[in-house]
Amino acid sequence: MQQDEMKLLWQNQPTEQSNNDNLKKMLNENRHPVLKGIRRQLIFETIVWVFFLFVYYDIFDGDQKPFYANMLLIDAVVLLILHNIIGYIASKKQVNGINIKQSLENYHSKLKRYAIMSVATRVLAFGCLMLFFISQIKLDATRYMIIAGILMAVVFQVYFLSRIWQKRIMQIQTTLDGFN
Amino acid sequence: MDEKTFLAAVNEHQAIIHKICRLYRNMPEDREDFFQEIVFQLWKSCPAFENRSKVSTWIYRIALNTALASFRKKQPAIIFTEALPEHLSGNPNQPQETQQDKLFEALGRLANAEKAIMALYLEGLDYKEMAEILGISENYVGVKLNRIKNQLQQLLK
Repeated sequence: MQQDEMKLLWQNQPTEQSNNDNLKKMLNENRHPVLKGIRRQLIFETIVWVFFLFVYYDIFDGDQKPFYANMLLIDAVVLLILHNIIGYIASKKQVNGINIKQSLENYHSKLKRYAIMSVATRVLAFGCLMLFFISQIKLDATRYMIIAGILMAVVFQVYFLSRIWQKRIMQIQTTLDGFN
Repeated sequence: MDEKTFLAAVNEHQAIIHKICRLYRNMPEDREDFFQEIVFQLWKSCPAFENRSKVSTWIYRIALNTALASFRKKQPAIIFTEALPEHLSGNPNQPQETQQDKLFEALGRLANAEKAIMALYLEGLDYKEMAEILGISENYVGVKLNRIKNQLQQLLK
């Protein structure tokens, strides 16, 4: 296939036309296919965490725990909610630069920062929650086993989370390498 | 750019967005969502557009940028074979649509950055415009383009 033929095929590709009404709907954040899913999850998680904050004091004997443990638990929940909100805002705008290479470099840095924040938030929040639950209780062999089990589950979760971020960062890095 | 002007501009140049969708997404339903994603990103980037470049150039930049920065949902892997499938190989009497399929099949085998460079070249942009959109030098556009053209010729043989 000759270059000119390729150009003709590319330029004359038949495409369907969206009308103005359809295009206008696409500007609405509420109809955005990806953001809609993220927002739904964000709302659900926020409701669950806020509900947890309302009931934890009675259900998990917050009154018998030291003040610092209560504060740590509240901080952990607020941290998780804030992290989700920042993630949602960050995913709204991907393009930030005067050309593609610069924009991808900015996006690459943003992604790395968010990945570190995301993993750190999980670890910190887990640490705070654990401190709340183990404060003022006598630890015996069974409880140590349960804590070890939970710890392992969290280590796995953090490992898989890191891998997801690593893959995404690598994908952008590979694309950037294609321009270098 | 107000909403009315924006919609008119996107309406006029929506073929560009459709081509980028086809280039970066294999499944028709993915393309629909991706089209919407690009239009949304264009709208978000609209305040930064200063009319220094042509609207079509700006649309290309944002659309390609969105394609390169987005992560796809997990889906069954598409296995590309060494050569193009037999039914797509060169018959001069083939209808144009099949030739187009063949071209997109070959383009689909390129790396993401290479697809972007090739899309701008096939659209007929000169090296200066391409360099401006991509953020690399004109010389380097030429070097990269030669490599990609050779690769593409091999794929289309």
